[in-house]
Amino acid sequence: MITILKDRLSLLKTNAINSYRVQTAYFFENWASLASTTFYVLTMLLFIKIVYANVNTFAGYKENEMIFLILFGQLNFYTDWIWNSNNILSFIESVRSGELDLILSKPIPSLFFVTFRDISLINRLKDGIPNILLISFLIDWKNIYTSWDKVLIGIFIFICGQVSWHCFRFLFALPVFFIGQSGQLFQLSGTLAETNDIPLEGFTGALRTVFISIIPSLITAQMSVSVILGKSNPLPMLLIALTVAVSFLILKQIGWIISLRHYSSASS
Amino acid sequence: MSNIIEVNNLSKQFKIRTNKNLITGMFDPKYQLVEAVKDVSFEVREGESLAFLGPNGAGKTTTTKMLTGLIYPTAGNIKVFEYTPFDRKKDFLMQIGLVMGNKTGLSWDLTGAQSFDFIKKIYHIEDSKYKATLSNLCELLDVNKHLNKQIRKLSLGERMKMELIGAILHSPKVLFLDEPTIGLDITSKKNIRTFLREIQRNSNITLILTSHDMDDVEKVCDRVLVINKGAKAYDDDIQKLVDQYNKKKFIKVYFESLPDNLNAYSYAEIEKTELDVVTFAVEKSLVSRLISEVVNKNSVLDIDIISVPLEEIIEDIFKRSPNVSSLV
Repeated sequence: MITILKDRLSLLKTNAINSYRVQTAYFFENWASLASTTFYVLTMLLFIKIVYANVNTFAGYKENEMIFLILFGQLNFYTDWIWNSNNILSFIESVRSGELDLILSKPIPSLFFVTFRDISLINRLKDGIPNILLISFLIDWKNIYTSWDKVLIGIFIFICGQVSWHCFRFLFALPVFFIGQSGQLFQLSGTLAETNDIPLEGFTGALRTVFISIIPSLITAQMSVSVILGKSNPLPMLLIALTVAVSFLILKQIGWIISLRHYSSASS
Repeated sequence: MSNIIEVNNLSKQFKIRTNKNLITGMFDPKYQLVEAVKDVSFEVREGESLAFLGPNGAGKTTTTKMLTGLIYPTAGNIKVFEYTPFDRKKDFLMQIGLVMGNKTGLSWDLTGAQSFDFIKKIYHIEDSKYKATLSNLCELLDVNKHLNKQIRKLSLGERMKMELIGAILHSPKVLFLDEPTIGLDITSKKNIRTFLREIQRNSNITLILTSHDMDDVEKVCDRVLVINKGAKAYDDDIQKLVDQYNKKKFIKVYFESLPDNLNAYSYAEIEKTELDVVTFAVEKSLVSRLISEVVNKNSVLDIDIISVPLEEIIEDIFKRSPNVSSLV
């Protein structure tokens, strides 16, 4: 067990170093993404200002709490960007091009490798930190009422949400093994996350159940924020988040095994 | 030497969707089964160099992919050092190397040195052994000056050399090569063939080569396994195959003027007569007798002795299969 963990950590470290080398090979290209994300954050903040100029609360959230939710939405976005989307896209491409052959023929845990192949840590931190700092400065922290236990549970829920969301999107990528392409399906899975800026409390009944369990897009940011701000009971939420994450991890593993059985490998 | 690979009754079928209509294809996709490999059996001994030959779509790459555990067979058994390849056990993968001429295993954006460093980590190669092997391979392939260039900036030949280093840096016991010289110029091809032969002889690596290029096969392999339409058509020593086909030699004689006594050589067949040039087909043992008699009795300008090239031999096997029993 310790050897497996050591091997995987070593692989993770090597992938992070290689990703850094790839990113720094194209220096000027890197700054365009910072401009793009900053523009998005400014637009979002302007939208919040306009909405709260006319209403006091939205789905039970005051303006300050809503900016706090946006902070988590952004953290979710950058975490996802650091490892999730890039890796799934390059995985789809590697199946299509047959490059997966050369991954499968190496003595590495292949599913782990394709999941963490590209860890764009430096680039994404460079894009993310200025925006996250900007949003953080706009939050009136004195008026965020929480406690350490809620924060810790909120962070754990955030991680569970990331895991669930990654597995969910990965399952949308797997048809590439059967039909030779899954780029559009993967895009579709991304569109299902467009609920990111609506608080958890804005979803009720069946809608909330669907967006927590079947399409797990509400866990990472909304559920975490709801728990941190004391709007939801932490322990049941933690249990739900953990159950969903474990279920999706199992589904991902099963999907991977079945898909490899059907891998025909691109012709050479 | 012991068998390192054992393949029994191996088959692989692919399901191809035939109804590609946007609407009806969703409800009634219709599939056709294509047999890529049909009931193939063979063994490979340790240190052997075997070539899979066959026309496009014959099933040779599919067989290689099943041997390396990339795809699952529909039927049959494969054992590579007692492992079932598609279980993809770490110990099995540690002992094989794979090079695919059309695919790159090294990251395009990294340099060769950075990529090899990654390989060193995943195969847990000791630092001193890594340095020694890398230096030796780089010298053999003359790529020292390219080690710190991005892979994408290298020429195809240089890239293929890097791919080869990446595939054997961990000293595999079996090296699978799928079209390793495809698209390369004559010099690069020659270098790679010489290199492969050298590592096969010196390091006792078992080589399994898939290629369309007969020169690759002749220069690198001792044994040839011809696959046609998914089935095995020939499996034996390459020299034996050439000898079987070259029991007869073709003697092309350029006479000053066409003689009348051509029927005097009853032990030789006249294959072709063209102006003053006659091509005789004669048993290998009678070649010198024919030449000496022809030269003594006639005025001869020139003589060519022609063997059947491997390319034509293989083409003949393709034409004859799948009637395997009627082959040489």
